[in-house]
Amino acid sequence: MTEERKAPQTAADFDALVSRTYHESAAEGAPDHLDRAVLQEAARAARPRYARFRTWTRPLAWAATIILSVALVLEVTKVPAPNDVVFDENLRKFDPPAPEPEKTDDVATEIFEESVLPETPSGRASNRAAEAPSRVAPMKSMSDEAAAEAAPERRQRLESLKIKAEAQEGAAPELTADEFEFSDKDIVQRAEDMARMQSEDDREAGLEAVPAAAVSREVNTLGVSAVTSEVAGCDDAARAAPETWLECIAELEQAGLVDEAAIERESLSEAFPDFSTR
Amino acid sequence: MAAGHVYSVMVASAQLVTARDLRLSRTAPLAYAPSMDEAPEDSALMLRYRDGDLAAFETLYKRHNDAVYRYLLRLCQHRDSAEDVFQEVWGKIIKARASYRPTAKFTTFLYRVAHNCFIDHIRRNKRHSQTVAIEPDNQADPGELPEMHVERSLARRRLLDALQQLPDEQRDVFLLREEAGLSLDQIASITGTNRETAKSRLRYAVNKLRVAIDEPAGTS
Repeated sequence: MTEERKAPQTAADFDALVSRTYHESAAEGAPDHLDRAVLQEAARAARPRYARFRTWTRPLAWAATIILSVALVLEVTKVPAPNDVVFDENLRKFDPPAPEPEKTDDVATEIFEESVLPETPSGRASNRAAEAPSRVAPMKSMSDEAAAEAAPERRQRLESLKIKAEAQEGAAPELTADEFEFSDKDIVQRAEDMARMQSEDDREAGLEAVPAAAVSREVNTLGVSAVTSEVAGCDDAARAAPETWLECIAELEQAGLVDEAAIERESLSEAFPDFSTR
Repeated sequence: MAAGHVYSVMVASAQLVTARDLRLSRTAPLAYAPSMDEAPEDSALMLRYRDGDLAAFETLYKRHNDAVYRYLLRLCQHRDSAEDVFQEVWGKIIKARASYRPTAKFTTFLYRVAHNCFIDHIRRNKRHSQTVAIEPDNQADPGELPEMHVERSLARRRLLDALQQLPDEQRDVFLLREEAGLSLDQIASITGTNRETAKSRLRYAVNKLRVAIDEPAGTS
């Protein structure tokens, strides 16, 4: 009896007894419906996320292919406007690539040499200021002799124009879209200036003058059609005085630029209302 | 004298079971609880499930579902509530698979989730006081004396009654120990207390249950 009383009084025995008794009484298990619900949820969660999009993969692929094909065909069959093509080609002829920044010293040296030695034949003179009159020249009816007489002075003026142009290019080697548009206008303006100088030379040489507007029209026929007719009109020097402006208008009319002449005449009447434009 | 008789019957019963198949002691691993060696397997199963292996989750679930259910049933003392919390627990485990890192034992992770869900459940509704009578298993062991069988059945009923009367904290600690087989440190980690507090709660719980088991049949 004493041994029976001693045995359960140790803590280990009592803990074992409580534990054993508890586990003999704890026979409950999770209900089947809970098991099913949990396992279904686990299966649903384990399913790849893109599985529901898999059914849409093939239709989406077809739709994307068709859309891209149609877009590509439309892009390929789109014919560019002829004026745009001519404009681009002539723009390349008139406007050589902008000088690279590291070549600034070479350009400056070239400008210096050409400005100091204007009579020196320069094999490097291949910029647009020199090329532009050479393209315009065949359009004029100037004789070779007269051209030879007027050559030194004209060349000097062309060189000064070239220096100006290259100085402008050096100041802004990279042009934005708007500046690019201005540069087109500059091209026309330069062509007009050069044509005017040539006409002055020709006038001095006793030849028939070619109005600047005519050169401008020739430039336009070369493809600078994006430039407005305002550019093809009279320049600021001509507009400085009503008399010179009117002369310019007359030249425009002689060159057949009736619309431009009318615009210029209207501008003249607005700028100098007290001057008779007729 | 009656108490002495009960002691002798209980000790004989315990010794019979111990001698037959189990060796229960404080140092030996509990046979009903997952051993420490299985913890990496649980973590590996969870990682496999994270990678999309559903069979791994089924294995993991079947390994722990009954113990978690009993833990929640004893805590909630209400079958419907226990089922709700049970589903919530496993739902959270499933959702946490992507962020699961095997830094701790999976059992600790699982019962921490269960403990937190139970606390949330208590805060959500007040029907926690509604209890349900949980009938103990009254099957007799073969070869057991009728007198011994009756006494053990009564002891089980008294233990379950006493368990329901325990404070929530003590019952929680006792169930974490018995159902999950967790150590005091792990219990303290789950319940947010220190080791001494967990140990004290467990000692109080065991003492009360021991007294309930020792009570003579007529006094309960």
